[in-house]
Amino acid sequence: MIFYFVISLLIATIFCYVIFWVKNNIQREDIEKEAVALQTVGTEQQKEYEKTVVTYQNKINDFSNLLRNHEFASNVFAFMQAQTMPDVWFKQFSLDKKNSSVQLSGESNNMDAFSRQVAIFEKNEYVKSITTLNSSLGASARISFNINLILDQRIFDYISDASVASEADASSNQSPDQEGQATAPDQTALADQENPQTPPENENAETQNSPDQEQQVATEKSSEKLITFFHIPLNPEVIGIIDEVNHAITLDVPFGTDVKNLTPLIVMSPGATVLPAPRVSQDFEIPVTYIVTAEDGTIQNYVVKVVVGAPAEPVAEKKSSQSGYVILVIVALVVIVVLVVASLFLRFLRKRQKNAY
Amino acid sequence: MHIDRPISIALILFIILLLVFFLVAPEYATFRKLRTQLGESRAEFNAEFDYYAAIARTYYDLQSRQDDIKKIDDALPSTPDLGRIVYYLQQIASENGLLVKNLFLSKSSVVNASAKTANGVKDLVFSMNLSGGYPALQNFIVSLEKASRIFEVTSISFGSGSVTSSQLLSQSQSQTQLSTQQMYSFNLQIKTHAY
Repeated sequence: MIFYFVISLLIATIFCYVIFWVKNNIQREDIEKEAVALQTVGTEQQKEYEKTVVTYQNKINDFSNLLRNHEFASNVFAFMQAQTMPDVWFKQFSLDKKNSSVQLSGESNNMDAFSRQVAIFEKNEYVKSITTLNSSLGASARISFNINLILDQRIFDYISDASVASEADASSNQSPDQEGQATAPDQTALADQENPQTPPENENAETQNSPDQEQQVATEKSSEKLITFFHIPLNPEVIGIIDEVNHAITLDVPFGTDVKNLTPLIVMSPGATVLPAPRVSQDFEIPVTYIVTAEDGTIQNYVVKVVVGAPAEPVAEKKSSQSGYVILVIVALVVIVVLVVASLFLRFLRKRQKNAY
Repeated sequence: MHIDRPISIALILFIILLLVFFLVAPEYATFRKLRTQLGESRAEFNAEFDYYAAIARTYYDLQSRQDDIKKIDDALPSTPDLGRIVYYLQQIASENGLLVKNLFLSKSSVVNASAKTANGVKDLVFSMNLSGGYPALQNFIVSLEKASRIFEVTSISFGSGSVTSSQLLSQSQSQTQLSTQQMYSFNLQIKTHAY
């Protein structure tokens, strides 16, 4: 019985070997087929498309950054016109946008007018500080002065005329004795006429104020804010699985990948922008939230999670398979020894029985 | 021929052990390795396929938005186009009643590698000396801000020289203190970009 069982075991072992050998050959063929198929992806035309798309993606991102940081120097003129008192004249003006500083030299009718002018500047929310202040009595019995203003960076951002004007009105209304002096009516009218803060798209003031057109512009703006493709250019490429229901993206990266410094590439809905920007490395040790802003200003958050894979198999597999072999050898040796001892014992019993007869 | 069964059994088991150790186990290890490799190859193929499919979709999407692309190309052209910039600045200045006295390229990261920005945007900074009235300057700056190409005025300085008391007195209160009809000399720094 044992003999036949062992014979069966031998046959099974040989059969196992044959099965694995055949399977391995099939897998090798499949791998070769996959390698050939992989070469068919990424044709010259597709690479050309990729080059164009990546170039435009970078350009659009850089363009978005430029627009976001675009500053309007003309706002300063509107501000100065709105904030200058009627009995104050400027002889020299110098704007350094990098340092947000304005140097002014001028004259005023009297010291009272000059002090009120300084107070108006000080109280204005767009003036951070006054760094230089010189005044002297000139030959013509007028006050000559030099002022250096440090402006708030917000003044260069696009703001409507109304906000500067209303802000100017508010500051002039704060002080009863300055009422009607801080902003001459004609100055305000001039600022409105010149319209220095008109958005670049709208050249015609009439059409700019048309409610119909404003509505039309609003309807043209897309509210689409989807991340359509999120991948990390590793080797092999890691492509994120986008869950549009929960607005979550999961990426499985190989074991050993430095998740503290991964640079994703993102494709979004047309017109949408994303923060943090694509192609900027991020620390993905903890989930990172990407904020997608649609053209119409609405936002959608995506939580991006990077999952590091299990340690590469060879090391662990080798160790476990080696220890498995050792156990197998020991068990087999024990079985052999037990069988040999048992057969010798049986022989001994038979001999004894023969001798007894 | 008598076969000693216990010894045969022991021998066969030993042979099985050897077969398992030297043939079956290595073949099984190879099998697992190849299975992993095949999975990786398939995943790589699928990833590449999906990636290029997304690229193709985006490419055709770009093609269908040529008008938007043209606006971006106009705002951020691939070449500096210095000639066009100079012509445009001169044209806008004259349209607004300003006389261009000096115009020179004061800084260009297109030729100066050290001045290149981190991204692909290259800065071009022009210095201009203009002559004209204050309202003309305002209109000039507004025109630049409305231009399809991105222009940014980074510094402005001007002065009227010495203003006599008669000049001061002649200024009507209905006029803003900067917007006189007096001729000024304006120094401007204008930054634009190329890609």
